Amino acid sequence: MRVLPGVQAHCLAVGFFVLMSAISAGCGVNAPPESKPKPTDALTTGATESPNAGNARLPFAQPVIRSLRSSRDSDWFREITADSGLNFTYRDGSESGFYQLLESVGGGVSAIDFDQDGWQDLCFAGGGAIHRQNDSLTVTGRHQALYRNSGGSFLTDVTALCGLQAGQLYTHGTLTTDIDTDGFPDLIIAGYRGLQVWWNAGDGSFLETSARHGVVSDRWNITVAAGDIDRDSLVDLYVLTYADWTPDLARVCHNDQRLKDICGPTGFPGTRDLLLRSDGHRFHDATDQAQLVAGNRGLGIVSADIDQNGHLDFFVVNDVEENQLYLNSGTLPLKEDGVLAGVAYSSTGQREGSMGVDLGDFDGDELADLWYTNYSHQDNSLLRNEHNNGFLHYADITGLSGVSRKWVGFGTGFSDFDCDGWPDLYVINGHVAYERLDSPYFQPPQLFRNDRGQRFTDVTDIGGAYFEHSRSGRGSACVDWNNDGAMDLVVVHQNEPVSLLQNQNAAESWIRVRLIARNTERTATGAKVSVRTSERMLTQWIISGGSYLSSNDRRLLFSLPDEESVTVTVTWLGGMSQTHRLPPGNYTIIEGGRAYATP
Amino acid sequence: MPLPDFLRLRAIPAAVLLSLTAVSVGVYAFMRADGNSLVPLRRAAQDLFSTESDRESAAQRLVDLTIPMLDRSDTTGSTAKLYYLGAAPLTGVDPSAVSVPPAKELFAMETVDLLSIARLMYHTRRFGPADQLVEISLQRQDSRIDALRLAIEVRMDLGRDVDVLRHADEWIQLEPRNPRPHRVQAMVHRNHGRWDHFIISAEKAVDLTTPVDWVLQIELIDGYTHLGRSDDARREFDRLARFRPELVQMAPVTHSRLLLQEGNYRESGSIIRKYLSEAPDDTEALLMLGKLELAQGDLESAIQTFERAKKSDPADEQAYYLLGQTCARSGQRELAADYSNLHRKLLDAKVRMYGMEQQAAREPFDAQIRYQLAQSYREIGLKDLADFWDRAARGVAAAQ
Repeated sequence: MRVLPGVQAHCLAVGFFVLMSAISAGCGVNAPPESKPKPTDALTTGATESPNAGNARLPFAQPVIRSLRSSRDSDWFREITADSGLNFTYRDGSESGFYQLLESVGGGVSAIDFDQDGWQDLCFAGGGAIHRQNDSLTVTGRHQALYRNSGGSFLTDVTALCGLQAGQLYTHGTLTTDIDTDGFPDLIIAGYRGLQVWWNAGDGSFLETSARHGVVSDRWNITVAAGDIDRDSLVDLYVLTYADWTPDLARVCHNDQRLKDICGPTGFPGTRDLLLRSDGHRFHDATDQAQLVAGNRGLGIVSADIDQNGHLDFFVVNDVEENQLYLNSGTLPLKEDGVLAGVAYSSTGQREGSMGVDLGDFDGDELADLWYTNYSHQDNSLLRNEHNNGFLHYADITGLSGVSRKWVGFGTGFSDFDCDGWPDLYVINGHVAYERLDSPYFQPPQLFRNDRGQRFTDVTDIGGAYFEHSRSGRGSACVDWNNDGAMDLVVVHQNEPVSLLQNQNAAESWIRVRLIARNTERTATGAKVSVRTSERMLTQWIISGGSYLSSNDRRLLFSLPDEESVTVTVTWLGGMSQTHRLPPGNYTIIEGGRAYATP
Repeated sequence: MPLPDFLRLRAIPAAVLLSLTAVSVGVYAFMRADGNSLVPLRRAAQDLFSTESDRESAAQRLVDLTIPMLDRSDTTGSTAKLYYLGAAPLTGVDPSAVSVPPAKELFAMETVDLLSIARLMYHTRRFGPADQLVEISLQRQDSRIDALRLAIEVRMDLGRDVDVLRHADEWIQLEPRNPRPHRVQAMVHRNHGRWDHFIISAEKAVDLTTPVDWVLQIELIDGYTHLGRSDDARREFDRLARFRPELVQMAPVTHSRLLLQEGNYRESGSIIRKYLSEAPDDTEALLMLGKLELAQGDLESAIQTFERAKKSDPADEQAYYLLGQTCARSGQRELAADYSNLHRKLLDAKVRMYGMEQQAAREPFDAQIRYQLAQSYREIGLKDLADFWDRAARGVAAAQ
């Protein structure tokens, strides 16, 4: 059989054929000189020196195209930011015009019920600013913001009231955890050359206790994941760090338009993440014991019991480096198995520029699949759990390839937005470079409906007006802010107000589960909850990390068909499981104890 | 302005030039009377490019036409000398028999001659000189499209893809309805695996091409499948099947990949296996079959298939990656680690050597960079590629 030229991937042959037919038919005297197909271009913003180049337009100087479309009843989401009283903007410092890599990372949001009133409050990282002092640059921070949720109808800025204003750290990621297991959730905020621990006093106030708790790091800290790695009932911390970078006025890079733009990350080696173990009073560096890799440019992390052996694992996604899968056997060191588990590279074995990450059961087989978002010209990656025998890339055959390659994906996650029992996906996009030809700075978010675990369909056009508006999105969290049983979204943008998107879909009924662990850390990170309906099993995990720089609502929400009751099985970290037969509603389940309805 | 590289040729011994002229003078004495015009030379050069069978004779004719003009000291004489130098390697005559015109003369030559001579240089593998003549042509506005076309051709082979894209952009501005510059851009992007860009250019080329160019159409479908855009690929593939069903049989790899993405493992496997029975060394097809076997849980077959892919192209890091993945799933973790290490080495080496290969493309006479590439490939165990670059280096060194 003859195969047409151009059908195979023998690029050289194809290239020569096309070129000759295109521009010089009939004059092919010689074969071309030796050359071979070349690897894809590097992923950096480029560093083509161009002494006469201008500057890329800074974000504030770029036109923003607002969607004129009004909200429709059939939309999945309605933006209610203004009506809710939420009014906060993360600042990246780009307005100073220094084109520093620091500006590109962005900030996150934490869902936290800090006053334990049953309504999810929201905490936002503040970012910072970059200043020039003589011939050098200095970095300063902006304080975070805490909004109290009043009954799912209004959000009030209580930052000052709660004492969260202090701190001059340029910040990125925020984590909700309970570091002292007192039942009141605390906050850990990561930033450039520092960490903040905001200890919740339980009386509505927070105290910054990073020094007291020994939670310190002078690296470029991106975010933190928490969990009990040694099952001693205490919270341990995984501090995700990015690169060995310092601000530098003299460093100049140019983008694909030969304009001065942000320098890409590949010029800066990754730094070593930190593992901090708690002794109940203070945290101690256990990085060496854990044998974390020597350096990685981490941007996303999710922790859960991924291999279902009863111990907390970590999946770390990196920027233009191999991802790591740290498997925990109960004693340190952790075993790094990313490459052999099939989660380190793209489906073709290439390094990816990865940012947001999540874990969920997309195909209903009760196993934890992985999902992460990538740089432009790369597909986002869906990894199917092969019955705990590694992972296989599934974006290709689930309709998720080719649909996001124009965009740079950040905040993301599985969530059953249309309340049909199958976790859908959302992706918040936005470029890191200011003015590239191939992919704009402002980018639209995306929404994908899960079609019964077989395919994902792009349903962005019914997402609502928000989904028609391009922004530079970063952190995001799923949170049922009005407790109506449909998961809402909170999104953080670069230098634009955050958005609260209220889900307009309605579940016929739902069950919501909050877990309190006794044998491991209190918030039960790593526990698995399975809900048996008349149709099938629904499975979710209590995770730490996930999405990008953010913490989701830690209560697990399951949409149900119209049923009187369902069987809920909790598998705690350590392997103990307990089952309850429960009617739809809100529940708190205590490890080894009962499940009680909560308002 | 410094002398172009190719003008740094040896001075021609006067005696050689004189004897060469004396031999030819009788034969072409009739030309001398009409020796003021470059038109016959241009025509002969054109004939040379359009001649399929007797290219050597055409080149000889061009050389012979130049001889009556070689002793002129004006621009016409300089142009003739360059034509002589351009065609000489195709005839076996000694190029050093003719002196190279001074650099300032090049700027006085007509663009049409610069381009003709550049084309001769290019097709006789003198890429640097060809590029320099093209560059002079590009500084002018006449014969613009011809200059852009030749610049694309020459610079493509020099690995200057950014310039190629830029020239194609200009060509598009000048001829917005011409599909060819879009095809050029599509090809550049395809060679780099930039499928997103490939699709944009290929779609434009398809739109502008009438009647339908089904080969280009298949390439576009192939691009869609590389991006996982199976809906687009299916739509165009069905169109192809409706209008040119015989071509479907000739695009088995694309068809199989599309079916794989649609979850139709059985038919995908059947097509790719049939194709491999006829083209057993097609690495891309082997990788696809292996992935199919891996997805179906047939680990043993997948390992065998990936082994075949590795053997067929030892420089393809994907084969090592997939071998590592499959061995890990089959419990052969040590072997998996070995393959994975090799995959990572290759990945790193390719990033490093990409720069070196680009340099080699820019410097066609640089033997040293080729030796370095050979050495680098040998260090990571890629003997075939090392031998390739060794041969290339030796070839370049011998030519000097």
